Amino acid sequence: MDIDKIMKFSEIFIECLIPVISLYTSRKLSSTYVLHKDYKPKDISKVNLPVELRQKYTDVDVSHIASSKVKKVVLEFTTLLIEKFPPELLSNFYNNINEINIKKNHGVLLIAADGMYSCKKNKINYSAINSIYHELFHMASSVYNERKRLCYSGFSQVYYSPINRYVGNNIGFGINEGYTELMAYRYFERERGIPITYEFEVGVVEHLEKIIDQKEMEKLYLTANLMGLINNLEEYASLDDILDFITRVDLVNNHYIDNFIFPNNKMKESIISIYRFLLKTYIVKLEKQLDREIITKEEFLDKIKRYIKALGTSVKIGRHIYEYFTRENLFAILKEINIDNEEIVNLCRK
Amino acid sequence: MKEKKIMKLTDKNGEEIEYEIMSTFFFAKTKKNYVIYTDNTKDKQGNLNIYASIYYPSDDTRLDNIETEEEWNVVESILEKLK
Repeated sequence: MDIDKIMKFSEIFIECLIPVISLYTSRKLSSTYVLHKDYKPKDISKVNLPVELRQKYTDVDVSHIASSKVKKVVLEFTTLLIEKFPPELLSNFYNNINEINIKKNHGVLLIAADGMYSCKKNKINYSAINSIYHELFHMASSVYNERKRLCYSGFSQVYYSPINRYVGNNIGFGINEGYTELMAYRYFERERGIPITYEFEVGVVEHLEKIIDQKEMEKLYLTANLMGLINNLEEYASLDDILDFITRVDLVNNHYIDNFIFPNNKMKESIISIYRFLLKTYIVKLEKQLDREIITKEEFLDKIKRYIKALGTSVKIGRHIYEYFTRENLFAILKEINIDNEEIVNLCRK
Repeated sequence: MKEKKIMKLTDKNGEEIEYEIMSTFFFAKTKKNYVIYTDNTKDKQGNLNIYASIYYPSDDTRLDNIETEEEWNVVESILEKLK
């Protein structure tokens, strides 16, 4: 064995013996650097770190979970998470897992749910064991800031008012429920035959993954980085349009239950706007790729056609079918962004 | 565009200095958290000035010096990976 191989082997061996858990890594170093070992900031009275970095790493210990069925699910979840995701994405998970409180509570059925996660209490209430995967993903992507009374959970930010949890500037809960369910379905529920929930929101975030890729979305979700998602989307859309998109998905999520009974014009308007945003943003992304010669004109048109097909034309929510892409409004969107291709127009006619 | 993470340090006179965080990590041997950061200034040779300290997730008034060579070796190995 040559000296380089021995060195490499011993490095790996030392890393295994004394783990260094990376919590956050920034951009690559593009220049040479000098490390000042003697430097110490003077007379510090306050150290202000981003909330997601104010967390501690601990070993996973789920011995406090009494139910053997639940413990099995939690261990299965833990194993997969550690296998699939690098440790720097799991600081929320490590911070919550050892103190998670999981209780069977049929009371959640009163709010038409099979399970519920409280970010503030780090507690899961469930009525059906199958719902735990979804709730565990909420746990793995949440951090509560006591001082601000704010819960950063996946793609949402929820303010806990001392009086009423739902008073305040809550944002992103529609996208967050969709992405949480997509993660649960992708990694656990699909192969166990557990039916998908939040179908509309899941559909929206699946289409969003064509704009911001899956790896980046999963990273932003697990690190509770809504701002990161917005920053990524800003490459292709204006901040106003992005915020409008996020809050309209919230609106649909909010009116799910009452809309089972009554059709709702506000809901229809929002659904049209959500799909319009997805299509426009995706096309802007493709246009940038075309300009940079990452894709050819043929690929550009082919991808648009596929995306329009995948988006569909209508969605059923409750007992009502909402049509978001009529021939006319699809033409109008395409015209607005100067897409004038016969094949695509023909596709819209189908 | 990757979002920069900023550490703000406030001194006893209330003055605030911002540093860009390059990396944070937990070292199992010392059971401590470390932050590597830069003020994005360069020395005369054009090298980026980089610093490292021990931080405490649950105490926002402390930032301690790294004492041992073993800990500095870990900091340096993390910086090597960033190259």
